Amino acid sequence: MSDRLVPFNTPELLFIGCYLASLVVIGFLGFRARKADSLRDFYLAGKGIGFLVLLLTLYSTQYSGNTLFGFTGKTYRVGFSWTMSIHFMTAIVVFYLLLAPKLFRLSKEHGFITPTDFLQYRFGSPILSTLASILMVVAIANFLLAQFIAMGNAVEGLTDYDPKRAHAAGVVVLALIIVVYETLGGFRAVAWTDAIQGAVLLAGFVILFVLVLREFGSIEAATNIIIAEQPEKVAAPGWSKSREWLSYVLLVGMGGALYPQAIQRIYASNSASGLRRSLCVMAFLPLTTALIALIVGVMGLAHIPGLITQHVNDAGEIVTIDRSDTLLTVVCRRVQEGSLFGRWLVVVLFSAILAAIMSTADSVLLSISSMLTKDIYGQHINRSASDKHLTLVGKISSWVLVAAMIYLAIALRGTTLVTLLDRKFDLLVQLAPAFFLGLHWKAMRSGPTLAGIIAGLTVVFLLLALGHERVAGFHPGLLGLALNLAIATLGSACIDPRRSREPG
Amino acid sequence: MFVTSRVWLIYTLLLVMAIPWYWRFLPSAMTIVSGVPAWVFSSLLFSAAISAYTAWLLREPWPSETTAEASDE
Repeated sequence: MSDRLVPFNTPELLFIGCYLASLVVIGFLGFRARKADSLRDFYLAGKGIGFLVLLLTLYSTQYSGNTLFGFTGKTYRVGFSWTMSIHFMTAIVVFYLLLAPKLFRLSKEHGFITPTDFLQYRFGSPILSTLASILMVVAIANFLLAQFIAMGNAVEGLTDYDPKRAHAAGVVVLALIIVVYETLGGFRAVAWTDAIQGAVLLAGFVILFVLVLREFGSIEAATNIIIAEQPEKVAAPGWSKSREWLSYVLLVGMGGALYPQAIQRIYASNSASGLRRSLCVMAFLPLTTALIALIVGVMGLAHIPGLITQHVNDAGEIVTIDRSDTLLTVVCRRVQEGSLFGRWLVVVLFSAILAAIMSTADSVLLSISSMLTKDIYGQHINRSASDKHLTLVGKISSWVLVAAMIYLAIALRGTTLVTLLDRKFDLLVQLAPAFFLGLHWKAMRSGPTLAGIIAGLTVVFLLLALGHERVAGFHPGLLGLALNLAIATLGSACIDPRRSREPG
Repeated sequence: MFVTSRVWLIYTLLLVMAIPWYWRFLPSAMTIVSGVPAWVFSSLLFSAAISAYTAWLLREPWPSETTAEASDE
C-alpha cells in the first residue's frame, strides 16, 4: 500500500501551476489596490475587508494542513474519541464572543495594528506588551515552520524525483510564491488569496467527503467493522478521557481565539456587522470540516488497516512504525488509481491541501512580520521611524523570516513537530487573562497580569521539563493558566481600583 | 453583551452534555444511530446546539453597529 500519490501528468501539473500563478496575480492586484504606504494599509488593508472575504480568510486561516492530515491521522489512531476536535474548533468561535465586539470597537477608535496594541492601550506597560509579543511570535513561528515542512511533504509525495530534492523544491517554490504576493499586496493580498484558498478548501472538503463515501461505502458499515476489530476505538470515553476532552476544548478554544492572525482579522473587518455575520457562519464550519476529517479517519480505520505496525528490532525492543498521518494520501492514491475522474478529483483536492497550508502560512508570516516590525523594531530599536520606513522594514523582515524558515524546513525534513505544535496553545493561553479579563474587568492591573503570565509560563515549562504532557488529563497550559488567573485576579483585586484604567 | 452569567451557564450546560462522560453508564451507548455510535451522535447533536446558540447570540447587532448607524443618520 503506497502512501505516495500517483505522480501528476502535464495537464494536472498545469492546473496546479495556474492555480499558484493566480495567487501571484492576486498579489499584484492587491499591490495596485493599495491606498497608502502605511503600516495600517499593509497589515490591515486600510479600512479593512468585507463580510465574504473576512469569512473566507478566517476560515482558511483557522483550518490548516493539520486539519486535513493531522485530524484524519489522529482519528485513525484514537478512533471516535477524536469527535472532540469538532468541539474545540467550535469553542474557538465561542471564545471570540468574549473578544470580538469590544476589541473591534477599540481597534477602530485607537487604530490598533498588532494584538499587543490593545495590551499597550489597556495596561500601558511596555514590559507586558513586549513579553506578549515575544510569546506570540515564539508560539506561531513554530506553527509557520510546520506549514513550510508540510509544503515540502506535499510536493515530495507528488513526484517520482529524488524525495529530498522534491521536498526542498516544494518548500522553496511555495514559500517564494507566498512572500512575493505578501510583499506586493500585504494583508489585502493575503486576504484575497485566502478567499480563493478558503473557497478551494471548502470545495476540497466536500470532494473528500464524496470520495470516501464512493470509495468505501457507508459510515455504518465502517463503524461495524471497527466495533468488530478494534472495539476500544468505538467505546465512549471514561472519566480520564472526558477530562482530556474538556482540556482540549478550553485550551484550543481560548488559544485559537488568541492567535495573533485571528485577532488582526477582528481589527481588519470593515464593519461590526460583517464581523458578526462572519462569526455566525464560522460557528457551523467545524461541522463541515472537522467532522469530514473525522469521517475520513473512521473510514480509513475500518478499510485501510496496517498504517500502524509493530516489529521487534535487533535489540529485541518492540518498535512502532506509525504512518497514520499519511492516511489522506493513501485514500487519494486509491481514488487516483480508480478512474480518470478520480485522478482529477484528487488534483482539486491537492489544490485544497496546498490552499490549507499556504493560507495559514501567509497569515502567520504577515502576523509575525507585523509584531517584529511594530512591537519590537518600532518600540525598542527605532522609535522615531516613519510609517513608510516601518512598512519597508516589515517587508524585509518577511523575506528574512522566509529565508530562515526555508533553511529550517529543509534541514528538518522528516521530523515531526506535532509535540512542538501542541505547545503553542500552552503558551498562547497564558495571554487569556490579559485579553479576556482586560477587556471586561476594569480593575485588572498590569503588575498582577504580568506576574500571572510569568507564573503560568513557569508552570508550563516546569511540567514539560519534567515530562508531564498531561496532568490528570489536563494540558500543562491549563494548569499554568489556573495559577496565572489566580495571581492576576487576586493581585488586581488587592490594588486600589481607582488607579485602574477604563477598558472602554 | 455576551458576558452574562446566563449565557455562560447555558454554554457550560451544553458543554457538559456534549462531552460524553455519562454515556459509559448507559447501555445504549453502542447502539448505531445515523451510522455512528449513539454517544457520538449525541455529542455531535450538542455540538450543533452550541453552534446554533452561538449563531442565535450573534443575530442581534452589537452596540458599535447601532452607534455607527446612528452617526450615519
